[in-house]
Parts: sequence; C-alpha cells; structure tokens
Amino acid sequence: MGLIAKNLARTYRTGLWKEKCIFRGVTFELKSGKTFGLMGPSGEGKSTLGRIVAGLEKPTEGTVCFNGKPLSGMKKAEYAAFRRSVQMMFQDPTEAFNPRKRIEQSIFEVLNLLKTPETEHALRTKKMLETVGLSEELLFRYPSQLSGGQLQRLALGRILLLEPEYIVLDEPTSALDVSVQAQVLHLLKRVQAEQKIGYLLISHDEAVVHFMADSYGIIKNGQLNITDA
Amino acid sequence: MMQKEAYLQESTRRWKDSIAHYLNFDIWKYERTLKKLNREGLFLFAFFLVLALFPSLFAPYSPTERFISYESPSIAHLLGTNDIGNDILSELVYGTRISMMVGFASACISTLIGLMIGLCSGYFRGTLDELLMGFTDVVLTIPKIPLIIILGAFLHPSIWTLILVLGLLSWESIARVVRSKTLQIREAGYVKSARCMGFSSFHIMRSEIFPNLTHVLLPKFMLATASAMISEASLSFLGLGDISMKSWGIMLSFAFSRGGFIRDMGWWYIPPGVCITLCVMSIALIGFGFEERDKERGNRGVDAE
Amino acid sequence: MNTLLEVKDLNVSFQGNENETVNAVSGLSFFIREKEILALVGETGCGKSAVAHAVVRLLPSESRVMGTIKFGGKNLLELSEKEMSGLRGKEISIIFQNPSLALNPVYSIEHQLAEPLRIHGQKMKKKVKKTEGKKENNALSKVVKALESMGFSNPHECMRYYPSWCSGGMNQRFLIAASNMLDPVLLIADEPSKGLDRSRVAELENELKGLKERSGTSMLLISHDLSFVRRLADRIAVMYAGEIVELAEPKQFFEKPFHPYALGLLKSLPENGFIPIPGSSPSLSSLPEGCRFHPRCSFKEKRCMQEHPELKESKGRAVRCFLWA
Repeated sequence: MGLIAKNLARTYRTGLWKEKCIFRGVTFELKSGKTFGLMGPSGEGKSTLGRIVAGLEKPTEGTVCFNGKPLSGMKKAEYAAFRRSVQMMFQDPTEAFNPRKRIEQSIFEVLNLLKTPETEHALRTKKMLETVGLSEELLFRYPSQLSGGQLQRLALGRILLLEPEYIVLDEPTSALDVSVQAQVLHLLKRVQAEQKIGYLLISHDEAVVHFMADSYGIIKNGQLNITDA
Repeated sequence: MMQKEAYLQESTRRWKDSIAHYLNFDIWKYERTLKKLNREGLFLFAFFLVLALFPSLFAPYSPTERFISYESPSIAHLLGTNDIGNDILSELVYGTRISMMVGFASACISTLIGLMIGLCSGYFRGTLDELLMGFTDVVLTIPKIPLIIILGAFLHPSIWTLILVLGLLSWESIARVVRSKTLQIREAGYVKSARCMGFSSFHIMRSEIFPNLTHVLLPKFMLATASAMISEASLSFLGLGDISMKSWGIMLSFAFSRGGFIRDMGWWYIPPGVCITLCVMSIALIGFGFEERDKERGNRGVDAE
Repeated sequence: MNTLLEVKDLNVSFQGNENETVNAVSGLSFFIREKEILALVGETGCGKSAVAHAVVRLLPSESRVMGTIKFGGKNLLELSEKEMSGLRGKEISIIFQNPSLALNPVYSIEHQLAEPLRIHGQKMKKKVKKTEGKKENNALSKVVKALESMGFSNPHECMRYYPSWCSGGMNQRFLIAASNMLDPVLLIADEPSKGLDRSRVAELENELKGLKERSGTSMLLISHDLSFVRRLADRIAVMYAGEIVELAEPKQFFEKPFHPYALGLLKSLPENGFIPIPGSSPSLSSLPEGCRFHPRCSFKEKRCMQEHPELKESKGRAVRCFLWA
C-alpha cells in the first residue's frame, strides 16, 4: 500500500525531433507517517516530480500507484478519493490564497467542497486554526495583510481539512525567514505525529531534509539515489 | 575673464535647473489634471446616464410631437425644430437612451464572449486553446465596418441586429487579454492548490480566476462601449441605422440628408455630434481611470521589508 | 579608519493600504567605515529594505523620511534629484534581489555593463585598440576587465550573451560586475542571496569577498540569512521591528549574542536544531509599547513592558535591552 512512484521519467520536447530528459527511472515509496526527502540542485526537476506524484502532471513514462492502483486508468470515484488523499503545498505562501477573497471565504469553500453542513463550518475552522496555532481574527483579513509564516500555516491548515494521507511539500520553507522556518518545520512534524501523514519533502536545503526526513533521495543528472537517514 | 566664464556656466546650469524644475512641475500638473478629468468623466457619464434613464424629466416635449418645421432656436424650442417639426432638444434627450443602449448592450455581448473564450482557452490550454485562438485570429481579420454595411443592406435594419453584429464582431481583443491573464493566473499557487484539492474546473474558473480578471475586464468593457457607440453613430450616419429608434447618429444623418447642413442649421447637427463626443469621452476616461488605478496598484512596490 | 556613510536617527514612515501609518524604520543610526562590510540582518517586515531604499533615495514619493544620511560630507537626504542620480551608480551602487529580473532581457550583457559608463559620461568605442603606452580607457576594455575580475575566463564571448541564456548564478555575477563598473565606494546589496541555491550562495559570498579585497569597496549588506552574512561581514546589525537591537562583530555575535531576539535567531538556525522563537513579528503599523520584543521574550521583566530601551554601546558592540544595561 502507500503511494508508490514506479520508474518515472519525464522528457521535454525542445525541438521538433529533439527531446530533453529531465529524469528517468525514478522509483520510490511514500509510507504513511514517514517523510521522504527529495534533494538536488535547482533545475533537476524536483518540483516536476512532486507535481507528478501529486497527480497534477502526467509522467512521460512510468506510473504512480495509490493504494495499489495506478493513477492512469482509475475510475472516477477512485480518482476523487486520490485527489482528496494526496495534497500539495507550494513554495510561495503569498500566492497560496486568492488575493481577492478573505481567508474565511477560501476556507469555507473547501468545507463546502467536502459537503460539511454550514452549521459546522465555524467549529471546524476553529479546530483547524487551533491545530496550526493561529488566532481566529485572521479569518477576516485578506492574504496581503498576513505574513508569510501565517499564510504558510493557513495553507497547511486548509490542506488538513481534507484529511489527506500524503502531502507533497514543495520547498515549504524556502521563502520564509529562519525563525519562521523553524516554526513551520516543527508544526509539520507535530501534525505528522498526530495524524500519521506521509510527506514527500522537496527541498534544496540539506539541513531541512536531515531534520525532517526518515529517508531521502538525491536527484542528480536525472537519476535518484536513495539513502536511509 | 575667468569670472565671466564661471558666471556663464553657472547661469546655464541655473537655466537648465529651472527648465527641469518647470517641466517637472508641468508633469505633475498634467497628471493632476488627468485625474481630475477622470472624475469629470464620471460626472459626465452620470449625467448622460440620468438623461438616458429619465428622458421625460428633461425633454420639454415628446420627441414625436410636431410643430412648425425648420424653426430657429427660441425660448419655446431651445434647439429649434427639424424638417418634420420635431423639437430637436427632445429628440436629443430621447436619443441618449438609444445610443447608450447600443453601446452597452453590444459591449456586454462582446465582453461576455471574449471572457468565455479567453478563459476557456487560457485555462484548458492544449488543443482547445489552439482551436479557439485560431478562430479568434480568423474573426480578427474580418473587416468590421464593411461587413456590417453588407449585413445592414441584406438584413432588415433594426437596432437589435446592429447590437448583435457589433457585439459579435468585437470580442477578439478582450479574448486575447483575458487569455494571457488567465495563463498567468492559472500558474499561481492558489489555482494549483484548488486543482489539488479537487475543485471542479468550472468552480476554479468562476471563483478563483474570474475575480482576478475584473480589473482588466472593466476598462476593456468601457472602451468596448465607447467604440461601439462610435460605430453605431457612423453606421447610422451612413443610413444603416434603425429609423424608428432615433439615436444621435440618426439625428446627424437626418440633419445631413434633410437640409440641416444646407440651411446652415448649426443647432441641428452640432448638438448630437457634441453629445456623441462627450459621452464617448466620458466612458473612455472612466476606462482609462480604471487602467490607471490598476497600474498604480501594481507600482506600489517597496513594502516594509 | 574614516567613516564613509553615517546614518543618524533615520525615520521612514508611509501610509499603509488601510490609511494606517507604517513606521518602517524608527530612530535608526549606524555608520560604515571605509573598506568595511556592514550586514543589516532582520526578518521580513522589519524595515531593512526601507533602509537601503532610503540611502539611495529610491523610496516611493509618498513616504516620509527624516534624519540625516551623511555620505562624503553631504547629507544625501538634502541633495537634489539630479545630484543624487549623479551619485547613484557612480559612487553608490545597488544590487537588488533576483538577478534575472534586474537585468534587461532584450539587451546584451555588454550593453548593460557599459550602461553606467555611458550614463556617467564616458565614450564607448567599439573595438579594443591594443596600442601600447596608451591608457586602455575605453569602455569595452573596462567591460572585459570587469568580467575577468568576476571570474569569467572568456569575457569576449560572455559579452555577447543575453540574460536569458545564462544561469541565475552567472546573471548574479554579471550584475555585480555591472554595479562595480565605475568603482563605487559603497555597494548596497539588498538580499543578494534570496532565492539562490546553497552552492550559489557560497559562490556569491566569494565574489563579494573578492570584490572587497580587490577594490576596497565598502558594503551595506542587507539579508535575512545569518549564515550567509557570518563569514562576510565585519560587523552585524540585527534589526527587529524597525530598529537595531544589536550591533556586534560576527565572532562575538555568534559566540554570545546579547539580545534575546538575536539569541532566538541563532537558535532557529539549522545547525542549532531549528528551535523556533514563539509568536510572530509585530506589524509595523501597530508596534507594542515598551520594548518591541517583549511579547515574544522569555526574559521579560515588568520594566520591559513599559519602557522603551535605548541602544547601549560598550566595547564596540551595542545592544538594546535592559538585561545588559
């Protein structure tokens, strides 16, 4: 079980007949409650790999299997379950929320998507804010009025509403200050311990990966080398 | 000698300084007047809007009421009467509604079509994008006014066909702008995470992308209105308008064909022309104002980092 | 050593989006000696960029700036715009964040490197004339030299590149070369390391260090990255909520920081185990009473909540805290 990436490859078409391979033969497994770190210099396709695992892009070769079933060829209901269970968190927290909506609206929309009855909205939001350690007054503000750390926590909180099994973290702290980075990393660890979520942590920062990951892989020249921490 | 040279240098420097200062000042003044004009545009537009909504409050007579024809301006008829004896001022006031309606209705149609096509091709990309944009390019190459003239000759000239034709032929630039903006927004984090959380494409387009498009759509809509009003006036002047609904363009056309120009009746043909100009200008000014505000918001860089 | 730049009681404030007053910088004083690198370290929203922009007078026109900024005997805040633009690029040059955005994509590297020369009134000649005895004063040779000094082995080829052909690291080096074309005495670098990979940061560090050694340029280095600043700076000034809370030499600073905030910052570094400071920085439009750090401080006393501490100086380091008074 779990989320397994099998033999993934991704190529780009650079000309009519030319193709450029970013990575090839990438295989790894995400286990629930564990963190797999993905390191490598920029431009090696770490983020692309993350988006493929999260199902936002399609690999050129290979498959991503969720609970033993490959993503391509899933039935609609199965895909919906996958879509709920595998979430992604992005690098830039200032872009994580629609600038034209209050935070509250962005969060209630997710609750509507989950078909939570409206009477429970306030309660669930409150619970979520407690988990990520933010006060309720933030709900009535616009994203531009919040700091990067607050937004990144809210982004995590919004994801947690969906009760995912796996989260792909794409450079979750590289846009944050050192002290805020420490806060967010600790929050991520705590959430993982409480809810047994599997992380795929993409980062170029070795220290962050060593701090978070149970095992990690370095992607270099299109190949992935896995080491146990 | 040395002193003189030094003095000369100093004086030229001062001149340059003062000119630069003067120019600088001028630029500021120019900007301020532009802003003021923008506000005046709003007032002017509000005035025309009230005229269009409640013409009976302002017009002294009904536009179909007949008096002695070809009368000069007098207290009874402030702008005189036309060839069949209608009061020109009343005609002018009632014409506001028709001219503005044509402008807004066709702008609504074109903005709606442009929004749909731009949004779909920008969001879904791929084959759909290629198809829609190819179609847009085809429409873009159609010469509009000649086509409308031909259509006007074949179809029954009515105001509704005019609105439809104007609306259906002027959405391409809106579609292009919306598409490029959508391409940009769809890569933003909030759209990606919305896709990740499993929101439907329709929901993402409506609720995530559309609110961020309004600030490009509004000025485009205003400018489309202005250009539609001008097109309507020129087409009506060519005699392709709907005679039963007298817009400003048709008034001009009648003044031309029924002796207003020959008899030198300036009060017949000048007011509709001025009205068209002012109304289009007010709408365009509002549009520019929106664009300006958007730019200012973008420029507000340097925060407290 | 002589003082090159002296900032005294600098206050920067502007109107926020909701018409509240944002005090980006309040009562800031520091100086930079010749051939010295001063690092201004602080987190997002502490007003450090506003300092850089105030020194080169590039703040938006609606912001209010008070205090004095003395550079070479002149108060920069009183100069006319014309005099100021004569200084910018020539004596004071600036590197902004994000190298790929700071270079214009439609011009070649050569064009952009020669730009400051052109603006500040030197003639550009197309070909290098290797006449002996003559000073190689033309722009092209200067460009070549600048590129060589930035570690490019093939400057003649590099000149014809366009920014989009090059990696971020290369663009960063071009940018530094461009800012150094006229041998400025002061270089202001606003977050030069932001968004760069670890290896690139190390490269940048070497380049800036080399620049200082070769041409004796003083630098005002603005960064949020303590480990980047560590090996580079001669003195470190830590900013919190618009004011300097600690000023010290890096060796002393990293051994024993005095201010609780500086201590917290060091603890949250990766090598010290990511121990976070609780809470978040105050917004610059609603600063807390008393010491600005007290809501997050674990050493706070009653006095900290009422009185605002002054920056106390002793033995070359200064700290704004009652604990060390």
